[in-house]
Amino acid sequence: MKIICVGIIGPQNNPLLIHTDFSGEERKNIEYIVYTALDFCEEKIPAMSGNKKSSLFESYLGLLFPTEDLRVYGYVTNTHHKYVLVLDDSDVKDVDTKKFFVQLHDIFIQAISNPFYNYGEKIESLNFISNLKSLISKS
Amino acid sequence: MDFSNSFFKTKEIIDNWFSELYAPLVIVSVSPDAENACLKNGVSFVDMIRCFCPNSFSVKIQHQTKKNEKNISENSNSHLISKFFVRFETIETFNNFKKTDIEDSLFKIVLKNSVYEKSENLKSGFITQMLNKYQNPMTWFDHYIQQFSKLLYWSKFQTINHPVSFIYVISTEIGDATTAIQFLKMQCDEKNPPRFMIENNMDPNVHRYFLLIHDIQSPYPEKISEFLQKMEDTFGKNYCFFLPINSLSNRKEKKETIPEERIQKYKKLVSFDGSLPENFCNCLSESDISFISSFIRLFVSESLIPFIEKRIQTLSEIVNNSSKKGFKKAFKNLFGKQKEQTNTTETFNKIEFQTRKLADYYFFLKDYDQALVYYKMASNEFKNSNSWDYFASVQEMATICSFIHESRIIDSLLDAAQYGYKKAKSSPCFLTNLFWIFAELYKNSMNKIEKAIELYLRISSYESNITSAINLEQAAYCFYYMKPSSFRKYHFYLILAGQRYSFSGQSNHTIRCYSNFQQEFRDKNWITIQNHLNYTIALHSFYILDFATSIRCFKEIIGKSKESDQQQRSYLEELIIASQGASQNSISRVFEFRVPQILMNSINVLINDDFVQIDNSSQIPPSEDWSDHENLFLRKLSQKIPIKPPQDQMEKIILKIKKSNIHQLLEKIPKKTSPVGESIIVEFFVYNPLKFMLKFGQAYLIAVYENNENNENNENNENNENNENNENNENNQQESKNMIKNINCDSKEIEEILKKYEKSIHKNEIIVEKSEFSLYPNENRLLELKITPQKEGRLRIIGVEFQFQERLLLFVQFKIPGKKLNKTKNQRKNDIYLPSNKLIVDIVTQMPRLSIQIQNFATNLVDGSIRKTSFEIENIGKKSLKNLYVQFEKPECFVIENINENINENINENYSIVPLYLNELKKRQKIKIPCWFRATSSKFEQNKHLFFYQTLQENSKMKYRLFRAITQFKSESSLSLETQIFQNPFSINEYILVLSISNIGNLNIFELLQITSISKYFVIELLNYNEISGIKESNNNNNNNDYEKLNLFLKPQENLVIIMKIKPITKNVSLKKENIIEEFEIKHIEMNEKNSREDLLQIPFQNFFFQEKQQKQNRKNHKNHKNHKNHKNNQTNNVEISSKNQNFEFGIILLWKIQGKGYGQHQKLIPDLRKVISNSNISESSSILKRKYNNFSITISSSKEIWHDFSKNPIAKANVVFYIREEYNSKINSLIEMRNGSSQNLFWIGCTHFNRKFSQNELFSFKLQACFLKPGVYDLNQIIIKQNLRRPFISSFQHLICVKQAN
Repeated sequence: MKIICVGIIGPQNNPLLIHTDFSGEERKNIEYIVYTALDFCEEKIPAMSGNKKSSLFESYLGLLFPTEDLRVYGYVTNTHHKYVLVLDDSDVKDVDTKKFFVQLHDIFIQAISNPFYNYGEKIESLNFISNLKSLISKS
Repeated sequence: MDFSNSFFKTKEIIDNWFSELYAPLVIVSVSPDAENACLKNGVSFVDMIRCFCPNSFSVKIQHQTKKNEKNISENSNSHLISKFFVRFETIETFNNFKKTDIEDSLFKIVLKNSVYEKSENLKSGFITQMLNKYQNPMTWFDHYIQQFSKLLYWSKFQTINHPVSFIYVISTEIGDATTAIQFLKMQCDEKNPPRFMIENNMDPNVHRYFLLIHDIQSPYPEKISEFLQKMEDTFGKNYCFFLPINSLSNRKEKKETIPEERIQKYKKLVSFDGSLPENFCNCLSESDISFISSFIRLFVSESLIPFIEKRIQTLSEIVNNSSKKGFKKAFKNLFGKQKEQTNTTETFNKIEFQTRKLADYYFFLKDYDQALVYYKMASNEFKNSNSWDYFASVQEMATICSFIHESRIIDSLLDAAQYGYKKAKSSPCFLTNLFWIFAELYKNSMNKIEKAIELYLRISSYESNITSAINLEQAAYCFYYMKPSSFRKYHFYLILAGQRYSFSGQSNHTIRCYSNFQQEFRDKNWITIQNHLNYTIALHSFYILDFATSIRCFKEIIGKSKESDQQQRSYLEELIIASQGASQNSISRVFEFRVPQILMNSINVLINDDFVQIDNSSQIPPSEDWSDHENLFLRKLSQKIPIKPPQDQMEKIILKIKKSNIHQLLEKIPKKTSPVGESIIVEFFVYNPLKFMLKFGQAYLIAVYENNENNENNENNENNENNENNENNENNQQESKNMIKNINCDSKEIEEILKKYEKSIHKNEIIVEKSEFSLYPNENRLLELKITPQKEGRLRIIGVEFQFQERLLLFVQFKIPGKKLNKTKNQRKNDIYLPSNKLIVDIVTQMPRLSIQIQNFATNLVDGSIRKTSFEIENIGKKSLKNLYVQFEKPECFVIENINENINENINENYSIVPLYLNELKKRQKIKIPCWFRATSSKFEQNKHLFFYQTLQENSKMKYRLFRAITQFKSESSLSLETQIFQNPFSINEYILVLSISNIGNLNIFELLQITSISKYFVIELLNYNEISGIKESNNNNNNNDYEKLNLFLKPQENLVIIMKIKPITKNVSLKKENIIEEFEIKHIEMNEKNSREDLLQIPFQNFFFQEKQQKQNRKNHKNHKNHKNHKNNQTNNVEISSKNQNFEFGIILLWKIQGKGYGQHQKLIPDLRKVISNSNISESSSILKRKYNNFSITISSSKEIWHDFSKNPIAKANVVFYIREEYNSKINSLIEMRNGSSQNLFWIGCTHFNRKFSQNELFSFKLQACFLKPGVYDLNQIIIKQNLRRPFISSFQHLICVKQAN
């Protein structure tokens, strides 16, 4: 799968990281897509938690919405951090995106466990970004 | 208030809107004279009808529908139709129809409604306010739809918009009756119908009606009957009506008011901008209006409805007859040859058109069942004939029928309509109109807001920019009002709408859309989005010449932008252009810009008194402790606590400071005071957050003199601070508002301030020094700007202005909040600060000014050495001064030589105040004040001195002027003194003092000159001087002297133990507690020898000692009080300090000299001799001669037992010889030392430290004398051998000696 953008949004819906190789106009458009994806996340979260059949909280939100040439996937953590993954329009299996989100969750936990990181602020750790890049290149 | 009510229309409103949209269209042809008669009321005839007749009617019809079966009256076949609407349009609308005109009118609607609230006023509730404003039922969007639907009039296939009736209007002023009839005949000639009817294939069988208007104010009332008679004769009685109007000559003259209901209706239907013509309804009386109303009622019920019913009857027959033929035709089409059919041969005579028309008539009469049947029938026909646009139009109406009839929208019908319009490739306006109608229905009637959004978005994909912008905006509002709301989607689509508005050149609408939620992104790290919003708003604000908004948004971007340096440069360039546009000058001014950033905490206002001068004129900031002390001390000075004049007796000024009060006192630091003509320097850090270098041509301070009123206000504020507890909450709120206002000035206030500042500059009241500087990317630089006041008053430093690229002036206000208030709940909630006095300087008259230089100041000294120096003081001011004092931070280091016999010091807890020169010091007068300073034990010494003085004539505002100075020097280590004191067991009043002097330096050889007792009651007597000096004769036989001359040398790393007896001067002195001396008196010791050192050492000899004693006492007391620790001093284990009983205090001073480096002294203080502890443990005795210890072989030779009479001599002595040999050669320097610690009654006389490099098997021996203070058994093996980088060797074996009391 070709990853266009990875966004990590804090519990207050403030962006902690928006990682994309694009810049300028395209970056702006992607940032808007990530921003709008939050509404889709919020629409899905209560629906999933309200499902009485499933006692477990499902973090993976699946496909949030497609655009003309992009697909947007979502994931939410127990601490209400939201991960937004923007892919190109090629066919992707849910298993792959889910696996990516779980791995992203792991490296995110490592990053915020750093005692020098102030909770709620932007993630600027070079280590985290290099981990993320390697994760993107693997997937 | 729930604003969704204004967004979602009620069912009644939507029904009315819907009924009106598809009401029968009546075209009105008005003669010019009739129109003129109507225009007397400010409205045209059509508008008059629209305004003054009811919206809808309840009409009786003969035709029976399923729905209306219940309403049929029992006695007749007629039934009622409620809410029957009629649309009126002028014939000119059709005759002169131009699509561009409608588009122009649509554009005007958009333009008219493009007024936006300036985003400065944006608050949290702004979005809902905007929505309320623009989403009311008849907002500009509805108006836009209504106007847009007029585009559909000029279409062949939208037959629902074809006229049903014509009304021909003439007035009696047209001439005579014959002319009128001719005119009307010409107008309604059935053989020559209007061109638009032919071109659009309209049904020529329309209803015609004739109206005669009579202006009652006209002079020909007799014509009415003739006109009416002829019209009725010609056109039939049921088709003519007489309408008298203008029964009032002037409504205002008769003081009749227009009912508000009429005005509102006019505004709603005719004037969308809310304007009202001056002569509105000027000549219409209430009876006229009722006539108009009854005319329409009569027209509809008596004429139009029967006509429609008649047409239905006619068309039904035609359609029904043809439907039988239609079956055959269909059969032929199915099995016969297919012919290509085009829609070019459409004429109204074709059956499908008549079917369609029949369906429309049924629709008008609200018989939706029948209408739907005929619409479906027509649609099949149109589909077969490939008339896609007709097909689409019929499908559209069928969908509407199904909605009205069954309250549901059949998606297949809607899709078919959409398909038809697309297939026909007709103008997109038809599809747009279709979607708008159904979006409204979905949104309001069916509660399917998602469907409405979908339709809006589908329109936006193919419409023009402006229409698609409107649709996107509507879609955005739908997201806002969804439950639950999708705010981000709302934001997103509003931005898209704004973008489309931007493409179509609608700057106002763009700004409105973007600024709606500009606040939402603030401080949430969506930096790219935020920059996009700001940049777009800035750009479009510039287009519409709203420079203030443009500048504000550009400022937002530049401060936060993380773009490349080129991008940042371009933003800055655009900001400059915008600001130049605002000011229309070559140089424009921008307020509160983030570039360069000023670190407000770093702002410091320095007056001449604040500067610290060191001996070499370099500046060092004072330490915090000293600064706090200074501030407190200065406060005391300003509170007029007198500095007592010198007296014979020493006085103490004690500043009772509680630590908890320090911060409170610091907050109350008085405003600074500076004399006229002296420069004030403001220093602060500036930071360049951009990625390129900024060059500032000029930077200068902005300051103004405050008015007296302001002064009073400020003083009141200060008083308020003191009376905070007594104020109620309301006062506090008012106070807080004032205080905040003092900190933050708005731009208008700043502009006024700048004008005032320019005046001051012009009048030479202020001289400002301008400086040029540049800032590299991310550079942080300390900037110092100077301002020189030339007039007395209160000067307020407002801020700083930077000139950038000779085109831009950047003004930054200094914002320093004072103390944060937290007395009341309001204060705690709202973060209210007192105004800070930091930026206010009181300018007073000219004052004297000191210049002080320290002469012959050495920077490298040996610890304890004393030097003579002097302060050279000069008055460089323009006034004479008096009462010059100095306060030393470390008085133990400095002693001022007496220049006045009465000189004395005032000592506070930590610092001393010394009067230097109390007489008048005239301007340009110089004096020299000698001074002594002594190096202390610390390696780097920094001493701060605060000189303060007064003018000859006291100034109430500036009581004292200050001069701060710092001196610093290095000191190297010299001697270390250790003392131990024991009570002489054989004499109650005598003590034994063991003084161990170690030369801990590496270079200097000390010549020990004299050891002196400083006590009124005790003298000293050396016990072992002869032995250590090698002089056999007694040097000093005078036992009553309180000093002993020495003539000893001490090499580096060597030590010397001097044992002395301390005894009372006279036998009369008894050491009792009652005998307390009030003050410790320093006794000056004069030396008998003719030596210059007597003079040299005279003053510091005693004074330094005194000062050090004071210091140590204070510090130790403070430490004890603070930590509650036991008083265990390593050096004086046996002595407890008691500051209360000073009569037992004892001290010694050791004078020394280093060849070529001068003299020095060391002191030792024993605060209370009575606290001597004499307990000691005596170990068992034994004798061991030789032991091996690692690679060292140690042999000790001494007598095993000695007998001594301690009553005659308190010390028993024994000679001991030590032999040390290294078994193998390590070639390392070894330091051999003797311990003193194991027994407190054993001391060594002689050199106890040896530095030696052993050669192989070399035997090293040395001889010492062991001194014993008590009988007992002692271990003589006290040897420690230290080698570099190795652990010290401590020999473990014992060599015991037994000391016994001789009888």
